[in-house]
Amino acid sequence: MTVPSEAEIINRILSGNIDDFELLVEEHKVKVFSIVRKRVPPADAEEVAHKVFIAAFKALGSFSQNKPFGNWLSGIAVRTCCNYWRECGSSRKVLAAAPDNEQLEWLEKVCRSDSIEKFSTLARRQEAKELIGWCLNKLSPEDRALLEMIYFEDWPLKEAAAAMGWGMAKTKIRAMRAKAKMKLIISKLPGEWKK
Amino acid sequence: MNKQEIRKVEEAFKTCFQADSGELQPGPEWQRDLMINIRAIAMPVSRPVRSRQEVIIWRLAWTSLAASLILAAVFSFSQTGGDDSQSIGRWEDKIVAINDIIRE
Repeated sequence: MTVPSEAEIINRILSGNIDDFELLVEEHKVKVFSIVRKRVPPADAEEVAHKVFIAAFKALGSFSQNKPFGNWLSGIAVRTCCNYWRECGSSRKVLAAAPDNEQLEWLEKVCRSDSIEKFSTLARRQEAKELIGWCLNKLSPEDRALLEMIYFEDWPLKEAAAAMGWGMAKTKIRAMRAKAKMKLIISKLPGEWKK
Repeated sequence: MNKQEIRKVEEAFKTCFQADSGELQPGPEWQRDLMINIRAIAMPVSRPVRSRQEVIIWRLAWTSLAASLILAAVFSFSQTGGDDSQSIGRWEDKIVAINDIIRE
């Protein structure tokens, strides 16, 4: 029995075979989860991943089948995470934990670290996650999404632009500005902690 | 913080972000709930032919109603016009008769 191609599955869904959407979910859920889990708090990841697939299902008719479905779905996942932070911002929901001394100590250790092993161990600690969350919360949802895609995950600029639905020039300029903002936030970190 | 320290923190953030994979596989319940939601959303969408037919039928009904109203109006006006011409004819006859009487 031959495995149907994604294009065939999509055509079948569009002609009314809704249950075939589960084949797409099965194929892409791990990728969607890996995008979502890195971008939103773990407690909300499942709900956001649901929203990603629901948005994809609703927009399936507009999917042009000459590009990979996975890339298109990744774009929806990034935009859904962006919307999540926009909603959090509008509802004034503060998700980052208040800064504490442990995180300041982590920061000092990172700055003083001289070996790769030590640095790598430090980067995997809980303090790093909390600190990233705190810094990213200071950015707009779009800046946050760009920073995560381009500088943290090394997405090609073209893919990041497609994910945001922007042109290349706008994406490049916004990404550079986002990075500059991040640098400024990091440079002020010790001072912020002392407040 | 100097530039080198900022770069180190950025690198640490990047490493941390990339390492944060956690449990990537969502549970079967998650997928089941998702498909329930998808089916619920798809319900009204899954019968596009029927809904399109309904729209066409309604449009036809309204058009035929409008057409029949217009025809009825035209017909009644033409009937009234016929009555008018008949009554004018009758009046003309009367006027002629009156004129004849006057002349006599």
